[in-house]
Order: sequence, then structure tokens, then C-alpha cells
Amino acid sequence: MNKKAILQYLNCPQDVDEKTQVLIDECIDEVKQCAHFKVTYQPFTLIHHPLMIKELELTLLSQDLEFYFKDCDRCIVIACTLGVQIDRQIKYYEHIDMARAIVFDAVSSRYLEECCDDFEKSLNLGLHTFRFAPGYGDLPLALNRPLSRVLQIDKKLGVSINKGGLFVPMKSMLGMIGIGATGQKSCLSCLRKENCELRKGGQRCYVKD
Amino acid sequence: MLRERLGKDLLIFDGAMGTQLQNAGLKAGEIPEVYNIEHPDIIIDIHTRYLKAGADFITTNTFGCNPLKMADSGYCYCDLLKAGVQNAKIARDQVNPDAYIVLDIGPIGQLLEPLGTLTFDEAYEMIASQIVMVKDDVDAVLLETMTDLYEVKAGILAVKENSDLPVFVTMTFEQNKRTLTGTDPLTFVNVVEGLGVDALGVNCSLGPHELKPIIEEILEYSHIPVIIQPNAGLPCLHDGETCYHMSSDDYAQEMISYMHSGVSVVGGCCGTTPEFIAKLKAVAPLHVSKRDVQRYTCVSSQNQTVVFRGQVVVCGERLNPTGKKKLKAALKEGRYDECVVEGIKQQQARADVLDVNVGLPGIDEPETMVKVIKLLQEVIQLPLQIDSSSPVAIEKACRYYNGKPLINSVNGKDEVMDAIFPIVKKYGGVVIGLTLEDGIPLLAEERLAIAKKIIHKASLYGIPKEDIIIDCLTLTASAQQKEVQETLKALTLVKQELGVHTVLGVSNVSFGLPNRPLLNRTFLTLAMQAGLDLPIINPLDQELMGTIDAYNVLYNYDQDSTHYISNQSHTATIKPTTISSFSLQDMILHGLKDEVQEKTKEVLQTHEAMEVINEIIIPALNQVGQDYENNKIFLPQLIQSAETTKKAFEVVKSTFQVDSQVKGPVMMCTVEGDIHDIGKNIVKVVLESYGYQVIDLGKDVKVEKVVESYHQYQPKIIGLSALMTTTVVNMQKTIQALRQSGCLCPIWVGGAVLTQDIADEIGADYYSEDAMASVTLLNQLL
Repeated sequence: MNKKAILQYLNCPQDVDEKTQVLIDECIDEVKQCAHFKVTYQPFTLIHHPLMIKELELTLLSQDLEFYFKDCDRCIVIACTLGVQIDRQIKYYEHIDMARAIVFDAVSSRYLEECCDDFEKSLNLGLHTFRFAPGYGDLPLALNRPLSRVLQIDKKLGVSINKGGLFVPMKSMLGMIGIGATGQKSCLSCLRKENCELRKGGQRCYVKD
Repeated sequence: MLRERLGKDLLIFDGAMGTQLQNAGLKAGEIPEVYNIEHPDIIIDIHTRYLKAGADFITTNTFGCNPLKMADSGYCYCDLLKAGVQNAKIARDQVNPDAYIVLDIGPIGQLLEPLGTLTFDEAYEMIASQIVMVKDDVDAVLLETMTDLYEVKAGILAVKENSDLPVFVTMTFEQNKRTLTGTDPLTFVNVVEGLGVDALGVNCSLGPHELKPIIEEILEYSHIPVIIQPNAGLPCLHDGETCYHMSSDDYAQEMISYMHSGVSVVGGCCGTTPEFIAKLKAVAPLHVSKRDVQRYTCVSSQNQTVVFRGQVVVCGERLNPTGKKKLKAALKEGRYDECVVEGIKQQQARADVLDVNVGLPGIDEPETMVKVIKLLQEVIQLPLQIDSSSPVAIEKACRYYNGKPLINSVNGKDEVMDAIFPIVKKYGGVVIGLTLEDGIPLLAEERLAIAKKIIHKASLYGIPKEDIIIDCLTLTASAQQKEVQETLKALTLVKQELGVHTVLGVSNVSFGLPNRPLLNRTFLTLAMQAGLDLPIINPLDQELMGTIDAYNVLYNYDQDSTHYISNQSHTATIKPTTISSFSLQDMILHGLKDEVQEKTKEVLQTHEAMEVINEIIIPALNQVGQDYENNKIFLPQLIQSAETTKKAFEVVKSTFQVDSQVKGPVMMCTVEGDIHDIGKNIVKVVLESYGYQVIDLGKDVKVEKVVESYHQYQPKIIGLSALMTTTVVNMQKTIQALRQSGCLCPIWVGGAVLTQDIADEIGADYYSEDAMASVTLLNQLL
């Protein structure tokens, strides 16, 4: 796993003390053991002006997404989870070891991203955009509901959306990837390239293809 | 009658509905249940084809017909449900009037508490409303494709309390032999059979071949009819579409062996068609093969079952306020977190089952029992023993417990048994029977007679003797020395003559005598030798636990001494010596929370308590705060130091009253709808390390609950946390409700999406960015 990114999540410097490094290593091992990664996806056709998923007749009201998907004629909606045991374990540590709970939480978040990245790679999507999740930028969080229903994430992944609009289990994610983008994934094709903290620190938020 | 045929005639269910609907034109994102009203002809045709293929049962197209899942359908779920049943009736009347209509109920689509926000009662009500609406028009109910045992329990109770319909339950297992929420086949069987369903089994997720180990395990333990509905092979994801490749012939071939191994009902799930059902019908024997299933005493949590197979099973006794000042205070003040920590410690100390007793004068025992059980079950895997003298508390606890509980207890009095046995039967528990009536009989033979009476009376309620554990009652050696042997004798008699398992509260033996652990240990050894299966003890007493490890080796229960070796080979581990050279201040700065208590005790031998607080702990804590502000240390280190300080404080506090040092109380919670409470918990730990008394209401706390708790605890300040914009709305509602109820105390808010602007907008008094900012704020205000 990418420890640099985990430290970034924890807002810690790369040269954090050894005790914290050990704690992170222990949590990485435990998260890998505890996680039950499940994933599903479905491809769709995109139409533009306004941006829509054709098969679902679903309008994507988002300027950010219009920017990113401008050259895409298809998209993939992908959903994944690490399962309930991770949530239970975080809660468990919150009772007896809060520092471990924080690190375990951060490692789980990162592990979910990495598992999803690996799966995404295995699909050989050709030219494609980053993965965007409802709730980021101006992509409405409310999109999670219709997309989750189409992907049947409750049945296939055991993931539901609660009354507050949050995924349960917590370490779950739904994202959209545009297919057919003319450029590779790059900081230069990102809306936030001018004010990205990661980029200033010489890092990326994505995995190079 | 369906119930008479079940388990005798081999019965055939229909196959997939979704697959058929997709073939008939159902598009991605369309809601299948809407077809009940918009395309009834298609639904009737599917039912008709399954009936013609030979299905004895047709399943209504109502898998997701609940108010939550149908919210976006454009129809009321009631109309879709009734239309679904009506379509099945039309098909049945046309093809085979003797066929059965089964009301199909799939998962609600929301994870239940404690991990989710849907309550047990909400799930119950939702399913009950479905049953009441159509119960006169269906022949049975199928709760299917279930992944959450708690939802299954709510569903079974909803069906049984609102109808006399037969209930079938199928859960969906992954290849790791667990459901998505972690339930294994044995636990599923133990709990669901106990709740009195008519048939149980497995459906979906895998094909007949891959389901083999799961079906075999269910057949090994289930005493009631077993139903299986596999998919048409292992699902493959191709271009985002789920495909099934198994042919109907291969499917039927795979299913033959199950039909000859004692499965009672067969059918199909995803990917199967009327052709599959016709092939099944063609190869199915007429009758169900007999199974010889052994009975065990088993207690379960949601994902773990303890089977009594001769080994000693340890019940942890520490969650009982009798004689425990700290636990009493925690229960009275609503600090249930301390109960959870006590539970975790016992789990870590290798208890197999945990006793839960919250009986205290002045508290609402049923309500407190349910709260504590729910909190424990969020993080503890062990089955629980519900321990109360109040039938009301026992009933409520059994209802909300997720698993098959151990119930403590009944005795030989008829009125007690008549009050408790119906609860044991209804919720499927294992019950402890105390061998006493008006008093404890002195002789072993008299205790045996009471045990017999209890077992007989239980059988009249339909409770098998495997669901009874007999307590032969430990007497105190200092008061009734002669009778201690009678207890041992009674254990042997009960075990040999009645063939039931036995339990004892071990430590009673040593009251009033010095070196109690020695007597406890010796008595435990004698009792195990005499036939004790379930000692109720303090598992933190590692010598006592060691005695059990040794016993299990010497009696060959611990094959190859595996457990003994893993438990006993580390006892001599020596801690690194370098740590002891750290000063108390250094320990706080380095967050050495495992070592700090010993160090604090050591320092207290040479320093006054106030001196330790003012000259060591507070300056160390201030240093930690400064280092965090200056980016010298970071969140994990801050928290480690905070937790270390808290432990040091606890030691100091135990030596004298430091009320003047306690600040607050501060009341905190994560608002309704929000389950992400790690942020709130971080703030709590840091505040506590600064000496604040924090009343933590938990996560997803209803608006009314916050208001009620404000009036109950009268805090000096209230902290609210929320993670998402969607839940900030509830934060605002909470603030409004607090103000309307006359709450004048300051309210501060925090959480990932909050800013000072949002805080102002929703009417909060203060906003703090992180834990340290909260400390600074509270230090200024209080």
C-alpha cells in the first residue's frame, strides 16, 4: 500500500515518528485481513448538451462532470466496498485505542481506493478519465441513490444508503469514469490544478495508468 | 395443509423472476415491481410458465415491495404488493389451484442498527405492514436473499405476530461461508430455528456446486425442513452485466444429490428459468430423505456460535453491578461506554460468553438492558447471557438481542417457569435452571429432583433439554462448608442422570475467606471434574483461565494442546526494560498508555496527588497541545498522549477525591442520520484528557433524545457533530428543538463539512475546527 498517501490522509509528515509508522504498518496488515472487497460496475452511453446517461435517461447536472466528460461517449459506473467488518473494527478500536482507530480508518479509506484502482486497471478501459464520486465538486450527492439502485449495490455488495444519504458500510464508494477521453489522466486536465494542495506537495491523487 | 406436507413431500419452488423480466424487456434502472400494475400480463405469464413446469410454489413479484425501495416507483408500495399477489392468484387459478402462493419479501435495502440507522422496530413495522395487507391471500411467506440476521429476526417476528402463515427463510452466503454481515451457516440455523420458522435454507449468490459446503453445514445442524434455491451457476460479470452459464440439465444433475441428502424444498434463483424447474421436477424424488441430526446446546451472537461439545465454556461475570462501585456509577450516569470496555476486556481475556446484568434500584432495567446489549453487539462477537430477575427485562432483551441468547434464569417455582418459558420458546433461547424453589435444598438428590422438574416443565412448553443448562448452585464454604460437596455431587448426578449441561457461579464458594483466588481455582478444578460445563467466572483472573486450559488438555478436549500452547506460552513475556526508565511526563509525551498506570502508581508513592496533577500531568499535557499546534506532533500522537493522560488521571483519582478537577459536564453526540462519529470521539478523548466529564450520547441520535438528555444531565455546553451536508440539516433541527425546549446553554458544532458560516447559519453559538480548538474554546467558556 501507498504509505505516503496514508500519511497524507492523517495529515502527518512523511518523516513522522517510528511509533506512528509501526502503528500504520500494523493497521495495514489488519485492514487487509479484515476487508472483504466487493465490486460491481456497469457501462453506459453518454449523450451531451445536457450531459446524460442515455440508458437511464438520467441528467448529470454538473459543470465539473461536463468538463471532465466532454470528450467521452461512454462511462462506467463502479461501486465497491470493504464490507461491514471494517466498520466494526474501527468502532472496536474507538472504545479501547482511539489512535489506532484513527489510523485504521485512514488505512481503510486508502485501501478501498487502491482495491478499486486495481479493479479499474483490470477492466482495460482504454483512454479514460479519473473516477468521480457524487458529492465531490458540484456532482450532487443525491446521484448516489438512482445509480445505486441500477447497480443493485444492496444485493450485490451489501451496501445501502441510510436516511442521511451516507453509505453503510462506511468504507464504500460509488464513482463514474468517462471512457474515450482524448487525454490521459493528468493533473493538467484537472479543474483544481491551480489550487491543489497535493500537487503543490509534488503528489498526485490518482494512480498513473 | 402445507405444514403437513413440509418435510415429507419433496416440494418444488419456482425459479428467477428478475431474469424472466429482463427477457421480457425490463430495462436497467426500471423497478420490477412496477410491472405488477403496468404489465400484469407479463407477470401472470411468468407465473403460469413456472406452474406448468411443475412448481408447487409461485413467488409473488414483491421482492422490494416496501416503502423505502418503492419510494421512487411512482406508486404506493401497498398497491404494488396487492397487485403482485393478485397476479399470482390469477395464474394459480388458471393452471393449478392446488399450488401455493408465497409472499416474497427481500431485504429492506437499509442496514439495521448498530452499523446502519434503520431501527429493529422500524424494520419490524415495515414487514408487519406488508403481512397484514395480504395475509389472507397467500399461503406462506418467504424472507429471501437475506444478508443481515437482525433483519431476519425482525421479519420472522413480524410474520409470526401478525399471522399464522408458514415462514420460510433463506439467507445468501458468500464463498467464505458467511453472509455479507458475517453470519455463518451454523449461527443462522441456530438462531432462525429457535425463532420457530417452518423451513430455512440458502438462496442466490452462488451455484449449486459452490454452495455445497454451506448446504452440507445447514443439513448437519437443522432439525427443520431445508430449502435451497441456488443460482444457475457462479455469476460472471461481463461488460458490467451479470451472466450465468449453467445449463438446466447440469443444474438438475447437481441438485439430485441434495434431494437425496434430506433437502425438503428445491427451486432456483438468478439465471434459472421454467426449463430449469421442469428439469428439477423430472429428477426430484417424491419424498424427502430422512436425516439424523444430533442436538447440541448452542448459543449464538450474530456471527459466532458456541457449541457445547464437552469442553469447558467460560462465561465472563464482570458485567454485573453487584459489588462493583464503578460499574454501578457508570450505569446510573448512563456512561454505557464503560460497560462496552469491560466487555471487550473479557473478550480479550478469552471468555466464550458474557453475562449482562444491569439490575440496579432506580434505573429502568428493561431499557438499560437493551441499550447495553445493542452497544455490546456492535463490537463484541461473543454470545451474551441475559441475566435478570425481571421477566419484562428478559423479554425485552431477548427481543432486541441479535442471536440465540443464554437466559439467566428460571428456578423450580411454577410461577417463575410459567413467566419465563414462553419467552424462551418464542425467541429461541437457552435457559439456565437454578435448582432451588423456596430455598436451596441441602442434598444433591433434592437438587436433582428440581432439575428434573424444570426439564419436564420446559418440555411442556416445547423446549428441548438441550436448551436447558442446570445450575447446581455454589454454596459458600465459610458458611455451609459441608454442603460444598453436595454441589459437586449434584453436578455429577444431573449430568449422568439427565444428560444436560451444567453451570455454576464459581466465586461464591470463597466469600469470607482469605486468598479467595486459591479457593476459587481449587473448587473450579473439582467442579470441572464433577461435570461442570459452564463456569461463570472472572476471565481476567488468568490463573483461573489457566486452570481451564490445563483441564482441557488433560481431558483431551484441547487436541494436540493447541489452545494451551497458544495461551500459555506467552505468560512469561518480559516487557522491554527501556520503557521503565521513562518519566511520567515522558510517558505522556510519547503516549505510552500501556505502561502509564504502573508509572503513575510509582510516582504517587513519593508525591502528593495534587502535585502529580499540577506539576507533572498538566504541564505534560500543555506541552502536547503546544507541539500539536506547532506541527511537531500530529493527530495519532495527540490522541495517544490524550489517552495516556486519561489513564494517569484515573490512577490519581482512585487515590483521592478530585472533584474540583472535574470540569463540565459536557454533552456530545453525532446528529440524527449520521453514523460517522470518529471525529466526535476524537474530540471526546482529548476533552477527557483535559479533565472534562463528557456525556456521550453516541451517533445517529434523534432530535428528541438530545432534548431529553439535555434536561436529564443539565450539561454546561453541548457539542454536535455531523459529517455530511445532508446531516447538517438535522444539526439545525436539533439546535432549534433544544432552543424551543428552553435550553440556554451554549452549543458548539464541528465536523468535516462545517465552517463558521454554516455554524452561524444553523444557529450554533460556536464552531471549532478540531479537537484542540474545542479544548481552547471550552477552556475559555467554562
